[in-house]
Amino acid sequence: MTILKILIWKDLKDFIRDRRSLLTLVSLVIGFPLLYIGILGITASKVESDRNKTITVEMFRGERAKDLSRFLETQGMDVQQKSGDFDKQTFLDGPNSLAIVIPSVFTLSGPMGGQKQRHSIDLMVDHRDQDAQKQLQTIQGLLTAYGQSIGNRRLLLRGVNPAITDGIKVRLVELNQETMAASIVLQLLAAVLSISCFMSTLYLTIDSISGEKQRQTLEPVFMLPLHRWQIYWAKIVVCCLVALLSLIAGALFFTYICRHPSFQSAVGLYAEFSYGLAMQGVFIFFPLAILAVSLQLLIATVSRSIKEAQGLASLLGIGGMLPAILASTLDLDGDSLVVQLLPSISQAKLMEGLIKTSEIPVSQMFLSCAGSLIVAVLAFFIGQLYFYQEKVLKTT
Amino acid sequence: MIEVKNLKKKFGKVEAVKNVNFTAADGVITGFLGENGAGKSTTLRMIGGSLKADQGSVTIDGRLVSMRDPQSRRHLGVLSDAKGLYERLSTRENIELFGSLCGLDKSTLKDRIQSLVDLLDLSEIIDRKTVGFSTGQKMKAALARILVNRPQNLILDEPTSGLDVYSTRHLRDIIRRLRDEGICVVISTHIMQEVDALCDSIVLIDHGVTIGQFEKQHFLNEYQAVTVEDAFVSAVDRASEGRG
Repeated sequence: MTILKILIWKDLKDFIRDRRSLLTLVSLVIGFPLLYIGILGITASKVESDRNKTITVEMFRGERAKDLSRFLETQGMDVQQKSGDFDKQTFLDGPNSLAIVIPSVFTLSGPMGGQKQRHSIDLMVDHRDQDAQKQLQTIQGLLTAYGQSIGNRRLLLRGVNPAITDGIKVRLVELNQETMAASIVLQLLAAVLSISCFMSTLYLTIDSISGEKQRQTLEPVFMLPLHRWQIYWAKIVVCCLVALLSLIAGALFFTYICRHPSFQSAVGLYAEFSYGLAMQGVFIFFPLAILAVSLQLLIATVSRSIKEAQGLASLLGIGGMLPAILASTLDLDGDSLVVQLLPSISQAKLMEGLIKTSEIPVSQMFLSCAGSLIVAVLAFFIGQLYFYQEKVLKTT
Repeated sequence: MIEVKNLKKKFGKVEAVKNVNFTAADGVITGFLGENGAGKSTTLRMIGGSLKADQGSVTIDGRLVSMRDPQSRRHLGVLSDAKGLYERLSTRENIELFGSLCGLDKSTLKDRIQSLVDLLDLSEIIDRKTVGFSTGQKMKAALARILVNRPQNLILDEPTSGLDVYSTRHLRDIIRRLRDEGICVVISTHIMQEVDALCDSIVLIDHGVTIGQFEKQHFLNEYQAVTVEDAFVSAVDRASEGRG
């Protein structure tokens, strides 16, 4: 135990003085929450600016639908009247992505026109513009509303209450707007924690074995009166400790920002999101972090150079996060034993549960822990066995 | 005392060590001589326990050395060609680490470090991180690290390589002093002046096979040479002729 303590202390000291490992860790703990929150903020401000943006629509033969033009203008649209016939190429070469073409037989100049047949107008859209789809939805909504208002006025003229055409009246009552905000924030936290598991200790694990091999510091220690497993255990303990600290620090920093009034007003997400909930996230992801550390140490042990180890560990990072991404896109059965056991996926599913109920189901948590820790222990023992091979001292 | 018997080691198809035998006694400096690639370092790594021998045995003070028996290395200090200092730790921390891993308590460690500072003239570098050390400084720090435990048996692989004249002389004095204290010292080298100046006993190795073990004077007589260098060349030439 004393030997282990000495080795742990040495590895910790070595890590704390290694600027690159520390910088990687700090930039990850601060960087990723900021990145995600930044993306959220940018998205929110884009939505807000889109909402306030004036949509420009070109209108051909607008003199035949003056009432429609007025209606659109009162709804905040910029209607540009165009003379002549619609020309596809000219329109595509122009600055706008929407055009309304009134047909030549369209004679309705107001709601009192009294035509018995329904008239159609052409709505042209150029999808090359990124915002075209959103603008299209807005203008389609307005045109529907305009059509409905004409219909209502016709019914009124005939002495019929337009309300009778509504088969059912729907009133939208949002009961959990705050929960929805918390759910968005928790999903982001899950992503931050998942990345932290595979990235926070990447440099440390590689440096602690591949780096030592390259600096030839392992062999002199191998010749001391101590077991090699003690050296390996000390390394895994230090790496797991750092992984846990980075998970906690990342979660706390993320929560602090999300709870900050200036962030909430900037993004418009007023989430009821507590530090306790964030710590539950850490609890869910810690077994995955242990698994990541075990696999990274195994990679560092079998690799012949730092570069080889870094390459493989980066692939592991991508591979490790893939299942969670897949789980969010595929509709996996959360009750399935395999899903509950599979590392990364099981954590993603537990986070989903946490979002809905703010609680971690004990049995599901147990299975998730077991799944990750079984693979971690396996990787750990393979790494430790390899540590006794003389190949471990070979470098390219 | 170190006893090596019928040691063999292969790396893939390459037979690095084919049959090495020698005995290094206490209070004697044993020179382990051979050309580059003769199998010296591989043999020393097997003695140190970092490599496992395919065949043969190594005993240190009567105890069989095994990779899985750390206590078999308790009385051994190895200074390998790779000095392997922890660059982010100071010289003191490097020495403390090795001392505490060998089971020394804090007060003993403190006294030993102070005596090593005096012995190896470490006062200038003792609290400096070892990154950026010169070859001589690295050598001193690495030597202090293995001496802190006061091992009864010392293996020094090319100890003076890269050292200037003054450092070399100083190191030779230290090695002699250790020998006089009754420590078994094995030095691997291909610098013949070093063997001339230091060694009491000589083990010759060529192409992974021990040619012989001699007292220094006996070695010179055997090959009818005036210097160790001449004797070494004659011995290697004779071995080559013998291999055909």
